[in-house]
Amino acid sequence: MSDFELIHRPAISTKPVGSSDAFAMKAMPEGTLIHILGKPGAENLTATLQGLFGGEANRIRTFGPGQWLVVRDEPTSRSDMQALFERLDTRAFAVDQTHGRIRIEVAGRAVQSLLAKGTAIDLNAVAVGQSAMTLMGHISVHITRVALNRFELIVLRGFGQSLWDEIAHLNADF
Amino acid sequence: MTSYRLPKGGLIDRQSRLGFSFDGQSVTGHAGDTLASALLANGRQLVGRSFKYHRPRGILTAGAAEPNALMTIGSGGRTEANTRATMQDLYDGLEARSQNRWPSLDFDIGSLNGLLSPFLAAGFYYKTFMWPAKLWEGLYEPFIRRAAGLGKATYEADPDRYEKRWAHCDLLVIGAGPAGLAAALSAGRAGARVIILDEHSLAGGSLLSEAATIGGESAPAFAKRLADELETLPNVRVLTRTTAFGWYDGNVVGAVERAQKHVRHPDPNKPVERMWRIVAKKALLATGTEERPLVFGGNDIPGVMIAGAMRCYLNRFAVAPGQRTAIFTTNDSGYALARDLEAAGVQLTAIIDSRAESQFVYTGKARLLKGAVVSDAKGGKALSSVNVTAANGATEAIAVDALAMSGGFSPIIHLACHRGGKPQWSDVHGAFMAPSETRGLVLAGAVTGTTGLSASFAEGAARGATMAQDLGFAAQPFDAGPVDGDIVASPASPLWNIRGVKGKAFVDFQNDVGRKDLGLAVQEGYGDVELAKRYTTSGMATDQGKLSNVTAIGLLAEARGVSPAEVGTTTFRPFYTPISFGALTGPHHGHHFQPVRKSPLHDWAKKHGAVFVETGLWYRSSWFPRAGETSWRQSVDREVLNVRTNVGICDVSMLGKIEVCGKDAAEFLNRVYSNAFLKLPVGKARYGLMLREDGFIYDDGTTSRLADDRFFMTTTTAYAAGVMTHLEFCAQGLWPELDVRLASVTDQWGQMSVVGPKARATLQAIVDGDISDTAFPFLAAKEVSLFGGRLHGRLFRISFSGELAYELAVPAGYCESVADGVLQAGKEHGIQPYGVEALSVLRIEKGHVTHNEINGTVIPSDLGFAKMVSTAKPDFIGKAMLGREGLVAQDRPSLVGVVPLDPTTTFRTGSHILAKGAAQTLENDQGYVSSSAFSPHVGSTIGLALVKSGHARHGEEVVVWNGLSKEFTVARLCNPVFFDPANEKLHV
Repeated sequence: MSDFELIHRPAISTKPVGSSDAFAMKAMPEGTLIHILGKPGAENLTATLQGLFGGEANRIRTFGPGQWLVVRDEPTSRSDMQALFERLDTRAFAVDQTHGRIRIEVAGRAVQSLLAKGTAIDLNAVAVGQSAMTLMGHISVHITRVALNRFELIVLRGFGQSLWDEIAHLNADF
Repeated sequence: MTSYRLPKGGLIDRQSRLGFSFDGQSVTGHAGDTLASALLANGRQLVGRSFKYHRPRGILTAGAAEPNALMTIGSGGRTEANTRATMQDLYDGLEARSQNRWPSLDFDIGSLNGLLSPFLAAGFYYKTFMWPAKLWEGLYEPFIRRAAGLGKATYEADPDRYEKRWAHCDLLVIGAGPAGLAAALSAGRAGARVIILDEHSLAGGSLLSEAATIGGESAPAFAKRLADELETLPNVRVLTRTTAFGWYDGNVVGAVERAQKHVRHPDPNKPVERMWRIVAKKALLATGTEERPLVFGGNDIPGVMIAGAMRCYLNRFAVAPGQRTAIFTTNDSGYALARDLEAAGVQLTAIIDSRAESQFVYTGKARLLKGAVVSDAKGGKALSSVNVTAANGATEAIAVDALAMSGGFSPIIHLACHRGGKPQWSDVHGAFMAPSETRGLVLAGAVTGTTGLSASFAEGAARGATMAQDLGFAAQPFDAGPVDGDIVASPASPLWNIRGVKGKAFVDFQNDVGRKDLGLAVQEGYGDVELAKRYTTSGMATDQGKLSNVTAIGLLAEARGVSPAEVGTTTFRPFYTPISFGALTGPHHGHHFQPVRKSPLHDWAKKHGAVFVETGLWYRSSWFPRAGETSWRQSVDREVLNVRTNVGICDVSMLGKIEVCGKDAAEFLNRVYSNAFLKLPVGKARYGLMLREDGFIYDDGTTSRLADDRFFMTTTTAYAAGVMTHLEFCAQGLWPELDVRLASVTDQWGQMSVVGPKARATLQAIVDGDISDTAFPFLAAKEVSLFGGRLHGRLFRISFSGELAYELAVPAGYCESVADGVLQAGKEHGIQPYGVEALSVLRIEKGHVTHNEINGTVIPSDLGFAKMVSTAKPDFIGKAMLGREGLVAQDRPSLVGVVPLDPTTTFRTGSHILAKGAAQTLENDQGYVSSSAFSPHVGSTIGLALVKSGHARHGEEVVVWNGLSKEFTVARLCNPVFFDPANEKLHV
């Protein structure tokens, strides 16, 4: 079946929400998402990862003690990913989570107010580039401030649409 | 109806007239009114009936503690019972109805209960309705509930939105009175993030009812100016109509904002109530005090009111309490009311001061009776007179239609006690004060016993500035300026028992608990404060005794001959005031009740007509009905037979999947599982059994070795998160020396079972490599190339059905497309999708267990897995406890199959097993059916059961007993493997 048409289906099938200055939400490309697990003794690999994955396209998110996520909008080929994994080998394990977690971008003047309806995190204390694991309502979410009024939410694929629907519901008053 | 609205004054907007109705009668008020003030302004004294005796009741307070003026507001789904009229802002079109009366408020048949009051004292129910016991549920309780009660909740759905929200601040100020405003300004001006909240519609607290001036400005105007300044500060949030209901660990305060409870037509896009969870670095409690009522006969007659409330209605709402007013006080605060009443031109007939001596110099015109008490009030639905007993014992009746009473002040310390602190009795203040240890919660203003505006401003400012300074802000205490007309009421001794009382004297107004009831409680051995509460119901109503508790404690203390300190208080717990279920639920109802977790094959299953079943948060495809099928059984039987005959495809993406990485990963798994994993070859899968520390089975699943240092574990759907947590605990807590890392990949891989004799032929069409039995035997596991190398997945030759079977994992985004490809490839082989119902039938036929059998009470040998308990391994979780006496007993329940002797009969899961001829008693219970299904392969119902010594009883005739439905099925115990016991099909 080499001629079978393989189709990639994104987890979020809904159109972007909102377009005002107050609030907007869109699904981000399901490009690349790699989970890095530092080996014992390699607790801080941020600099190493920036060297390996640095550049405009890749962003590195802290994901917990000794763990990071590498995200990019573009897909990474299987061979490129294997090469990256091999370069990490002595310092960390890498697990491809490109399909396991999806990214949603929320932005706007009211974005903090909206997120405060779900997360207990003090978003004022989250600087641009900083991340945290939290609950948005009942759903576990990895949140990163990517700009003053813009956040990236990383969520398990299976909960993606549910999180989207909940945020859209909470957006009614903005 | 006489208008009691004064011609001038108050904080109401006289240009704005609002129409509303009370018990169907149209009345009007003004913007700025509460429902209570508007009713009083219209001369409406009678507003409710009491809980037990249906006594006429009027408005007693002007705040959250109101026990009498409880009303049903709104209509349809917006009907809200037990709304306190004192806390409800008036709006145009408001509909209010009185409660607990029939046929009307003025003529209430239930008031006949009052005639029976000599027989209805505390404990009456307990003593009277003990026999015959069977009448309790059928007669007594329904009758009592009908006769007594509050409002009724609506059965209609609430149409409004509710919201929850987190907030963070440097300083949280609870209460926007003089101390709270001063504290908030002191910290806010310095740049601290401040949240100040108040339960009323306006910030200001007691300032709104105050006649004093501050720096030449009226107190309400001064309060407004401060609140306006706070509103302009970008670092300050002012929340009005917001009640802090609880103080929790981490200095988190819960509060509910009544965001749209004061409007007729709520904006459907905004919440009517918002629940705040406020995380504060510092918190200040400036909640003021609750003025206590006095316990004299008829103290509940409409027209009797708390003195501070009367002052509030007079000054804030411009409502005269009556035409002939008297004040009964135990302290100087009554004179502030006297001054304001006389200034407003309201006739003040008398001031009855229980103290023979006081330092306050009264210069007004009213009679001042020192050392006297009001022993009884007279009237029915309205006050007509009071009986005053002078110091020398002489009595006289004074005609009045309004009476203010002040029995002293109780600091509102509830929140300060929510984290375990106990209130402390103070003889100096005649009140219970906050615990000595408040875990950093700071108090200021009247709640600390401070009296007077100047002192409250100063204390609040100092506390606010200090707390801001502690957080690094250069704060200076706010200076309110000079206060003119400040009456500083020094504390006075409490007056619990009043001499000469003849009528019913109420302590707890809402529950109709009188002072005699408390005396009776002591007489009958229920003098402990916790017992007295339950014996008398004092403090148990919706107001939770805000007005009554301290007085009740005082009366108990006097009856026992001890100090209130020795009696103590009941435990203070959230919620401070009743909170709606809507606010607690927030947005999580209906479609948003709980998250939905969707498999990557959800839409694929949907387009093939799947019927879904909720499994935790997952939606699993249950079966796939086809045209002509009229019952689920028809669909499931077809799916099962097709798998046994041809090939089926089933979504198993919900299984937990965990990658276990590290050079010590094999050793780690060897310790986690009871069977051996250390030498599992790369490219092989193995069924694993995971035990708890106590030796019972925790979970099972297959784990495959993908590389020397990388394994792929699957768990059951239900225990996926639990196993991940367990493994993290093992890795981080038990064996941190092991080089092992864990990653949940459940959502990364969409996974499908391809099962049946033609599974290989189907899959071979999309898998690029050789998957023959030789190249890919049973329990093989490896990464495979698909569709000519365009995609890579993981293929496992494992079987839950006993058939030739594979599980194919592919990146989730491609899963639906791959499933389409498998269907296309299997078309010529008769492939059909099947759901979890068919999957369950197939596994029961094969004797495979799930958490139906792994129920937390079974060990490996119970399920026939004795060989999976390694005797060679030095240790694994659960090993030490497996040798316990009870776990090696010969008669432990063990897994057996069950079939009915007559294949046309059936039985249900959960039914119990009785030995043949045994009586149907629990003592004869031999075990139970853990799983059952109709088996197309066997041709009858089959079951798996956990039966005492079951492994040794194959062939025994038993009775399957369903005690709930009284069903009996004669059956036979047998080998639990109904299909291919030799496992030949697995290896084809």
